[in-house]
Amino acid sequence: MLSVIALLLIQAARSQWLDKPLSYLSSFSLPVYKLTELPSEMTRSLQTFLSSRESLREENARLRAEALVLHAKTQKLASLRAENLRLRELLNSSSHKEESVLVAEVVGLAADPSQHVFVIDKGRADGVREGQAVIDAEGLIGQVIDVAHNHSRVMMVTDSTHALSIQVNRNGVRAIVEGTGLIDLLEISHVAATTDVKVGDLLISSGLGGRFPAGYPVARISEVTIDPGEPFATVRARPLAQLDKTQFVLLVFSRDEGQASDG
Amino acid sequence: MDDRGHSFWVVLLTLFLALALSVYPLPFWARWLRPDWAVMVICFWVLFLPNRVGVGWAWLAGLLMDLLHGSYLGQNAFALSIVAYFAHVSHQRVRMSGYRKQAVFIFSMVTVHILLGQWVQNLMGVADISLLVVLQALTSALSWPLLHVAMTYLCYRFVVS
Repeated sequence: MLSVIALLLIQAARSQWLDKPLSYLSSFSLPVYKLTELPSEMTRSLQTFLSSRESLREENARLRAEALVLHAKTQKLASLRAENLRLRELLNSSSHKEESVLVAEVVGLAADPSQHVFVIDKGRADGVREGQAVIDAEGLIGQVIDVAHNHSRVMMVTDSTHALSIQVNRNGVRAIVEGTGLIDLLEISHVAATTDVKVGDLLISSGLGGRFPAGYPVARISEVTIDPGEPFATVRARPLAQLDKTQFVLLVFSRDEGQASDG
Repeated sequence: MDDRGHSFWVVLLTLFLALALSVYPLPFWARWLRPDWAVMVICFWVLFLPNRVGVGWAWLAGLLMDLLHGSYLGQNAFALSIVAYFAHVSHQRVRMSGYRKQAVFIFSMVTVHILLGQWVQNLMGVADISLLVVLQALTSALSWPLLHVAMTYLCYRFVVS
């Protein structure tokens, strides 16, 4: 009897009308995820507490140097952006969308080991919506697949059901990159054996499909095998983002450049 | 009356712990080895407290699990209530057998749970079956004696009957 109700619920969950109440009902899971994080959090804070003054000073110096380099790199960004905009206007092409980011903390991993999904502590209340791109400092991580009131789920690009449109940064060749279910492996499907791709090529998101903003680095090609008997080459890539190590990720919000108030 | 109150809270607490453990963060590769705590705890209670804990508890726990895991609502509720039914039907036999036979029973129950979950996922069009899930059933069976000892201690400590 109860299992019949459960089956009916599955059927009901397929339609959308339960989404709203469910997103509130599942709010209880954020505290549970936070609770499971407590032990690792405690060891971490203990480590910071016990780490010596010396190592802290070292780290501080290193971070300072890093910040200096990054500042230097962004110096010319404003003028370059203005120039880019002018040139695009000259060419009559549409302007790039301006993006802003929101930091979210990873609070848990999906329980199902066959899924590459993690949980972040930002939800609908913070303006997160389904399909939003998620990045870290190195590259694209994935997209939001499920938004609840106070948390949401992010599918990584390596999930075996995930695919996205990319471009080879060197020459603009477009392709589809698919997840494999392995954390450090992506596969590029249907690449003709004559296509110009090389090991070490940087793959960036192409923006086709409208899900991901264009231009974010996704992966680097690690292996190209051309078998004369096969119609397509086997191309493998390694994702750039630290998929299994990140604690903080960035949610990308895109908006039109015209409305943007500042960089 | 007092006992009854105790057993209610102990069951609730252990089920909550099982759910929390089911999402406890593990390294990527180790997720394949995570024992299915929810099935084990439910099996324990159904086997040793069959007049208190039954399909209803399993169903509720499954529903909470669905909300927590973000799986299809009802997926785990369905699978866990089937598991609880099997456990309830065979509790008199399984209770009498030793750890080894009980571990085999747990192995099959975890397999049932996983297969039913995958069946639902297939119905919804998400198909990704890996034989590695057998590992989960295996680690569950291996950790059953441990759980059994701990839970029996809990039962004595808090006079659950």
